[in-house]
Amino acid sequence: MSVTDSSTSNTPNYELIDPDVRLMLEVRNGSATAYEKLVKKYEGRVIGFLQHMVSREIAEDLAQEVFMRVFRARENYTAGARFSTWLFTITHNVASNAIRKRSKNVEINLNEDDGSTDSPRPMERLAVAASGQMPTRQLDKLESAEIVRFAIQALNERQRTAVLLSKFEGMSYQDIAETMQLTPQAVKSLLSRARASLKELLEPYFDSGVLSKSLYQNESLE
Amino acid sequence: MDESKSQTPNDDELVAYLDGELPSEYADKVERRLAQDPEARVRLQHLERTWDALDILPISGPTNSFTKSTMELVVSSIKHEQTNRKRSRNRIVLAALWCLLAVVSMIASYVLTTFWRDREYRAIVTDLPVLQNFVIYRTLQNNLDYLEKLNEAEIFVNDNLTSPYTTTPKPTFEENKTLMEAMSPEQLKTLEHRKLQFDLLNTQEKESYRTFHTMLLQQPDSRQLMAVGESYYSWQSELDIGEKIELQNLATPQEKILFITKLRELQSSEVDRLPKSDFISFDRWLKALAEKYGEEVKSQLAGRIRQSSKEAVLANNETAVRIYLRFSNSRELVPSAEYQLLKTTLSTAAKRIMESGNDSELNFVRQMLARPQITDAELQSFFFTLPSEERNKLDGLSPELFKDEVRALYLSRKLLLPRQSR
Repeated sequence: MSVTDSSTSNTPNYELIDPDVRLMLEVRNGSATAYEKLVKKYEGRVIGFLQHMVSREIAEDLAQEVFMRVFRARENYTAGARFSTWLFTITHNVASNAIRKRSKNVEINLNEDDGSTDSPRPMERLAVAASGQMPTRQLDKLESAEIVRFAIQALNERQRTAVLLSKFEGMSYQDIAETMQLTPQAVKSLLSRARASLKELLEPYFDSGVLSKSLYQNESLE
Repeated sequence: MDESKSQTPNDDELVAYLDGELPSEYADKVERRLAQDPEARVRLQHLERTWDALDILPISGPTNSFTKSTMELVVSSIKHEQTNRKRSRNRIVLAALWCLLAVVSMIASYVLTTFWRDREYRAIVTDLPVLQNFVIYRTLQNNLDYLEKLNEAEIFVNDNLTSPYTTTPKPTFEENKTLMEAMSPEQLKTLEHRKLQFDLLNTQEKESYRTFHTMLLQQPDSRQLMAVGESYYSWQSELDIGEKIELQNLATPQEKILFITKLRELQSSEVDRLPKSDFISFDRWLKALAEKYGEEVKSQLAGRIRQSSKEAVLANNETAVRIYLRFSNSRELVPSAEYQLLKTTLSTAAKRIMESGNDSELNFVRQMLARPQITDAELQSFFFTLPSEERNKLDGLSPELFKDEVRALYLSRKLLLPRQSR
């Protein structure tokens, strides 16, 4: 059974069907107003994506890096895809670079870690709370949203990207494939595994209020 | 395998179904299976529930200043780009200037190298055609009318032109250079020598040679004229100094041609058939005459010849006597007794010529004096056969005296055969 593959069809005229492509073409022709419109339209989505991909703290900085790359690429821009697909390709690349850089730093920090337990990891605290060893009032303070956020962050980078693009950007498998430079079939498998992981991580919590063990074990990956 | 199990949709299919990514016929199949498979429905619900749970993810929007700061970054980036472009343009301009400088340097060095390489030619090459024929033109005194008259008189016939001849009045530098490169070292030396002589002329004289050369080449029969000029030069160069002076002093081409005709008649006269002993006897007589009357002859000639010729004519008694006998009334200074004395030393044939008529004695003497001169090459060869003592003595003499002395020695020591008329 195969997913819909639009790559075999003729390339659509994105300039006609996507108003954002038209705005970007105006940017290419030197319109600052068009650029500002695009920034305003996409800043929230880009920042949101980056918050979940990297971290809240640097999401805005990275978003600015994304928009600067868009601006720098304006002279060579061609309408070869939906604007959002092109924009999130850039965003994905920026996020991947940031994760790689951070991974190196984390490695260094871990090597320098003296094993102190003065500031326990949040997911461990969450696990303690969810296991009933913490007063209920304290557990109530932990929002479900945080649990979900931790679950998302427990996914690997590629799964997380595919989930965020699919869930929050409403992208088709084809668009996600273009953004992540994968085939639609690979995206299908990626999303399937991601959703299975999320189910495994979140089901215990939804069913019994107990966190999956793998959820707080995975926290150390981030 | 249980068929119902094999038809249970897997997670991939359920996820694609939830995401609306299945083609409609596959979606229908999945729906049919779900209707028959409660377990699959539960799995689908769980997948859907966890997917919906993502909706509660906290997303904090951008700060108020995000757009503004991004636009400021863009403005700063534009300025940076402009600066970079300007720098880049400056670098390109600088690189272009360097390239231009390099090209100009290469051209300049090529030109300088060529100029330096051609310097030895450059001095000569400008007037090469004139310099090559310089001595002929000088002999003709740059007089085209004279040359044409010589040609009409048919005195000199030359079918084998050896002088450089070209119909191009002004060959290019490269053509001239090629010609010079083909020359032997001796030819180049001769050319350099002529260049030195040419450089001594004033601007007007130089220009007259150039004009003569151009005019000569413009004549329809320029090649014929050139051949006549060459023969004339060759003949004239064998004349003795007195004959040359006399010829130069004549004013019009007609007078010159008349003189040349007479001279050539004398040169081809019967004296050439006399025995060689007569020539030796005549030469001795001439020397004796020079000793006796030389000073007197010189003082008389001094008032009658051009200043420029005096040095050559009056330097040697024998030369002076020769000129005097050739062109003056010799009776004035040389008495008849001298002719009688000569006659006693000659053969019968010579005596007969001397007694053949009026002025026959003087005519005989003039014919003997008008004999073709011995060539420089002959004298040169003879000179090298002399003992070193004699050679050292002769080396100290002026060119004209040197020639006379060597010739006298040549006549006295070799038995000169009469030359055939030319």
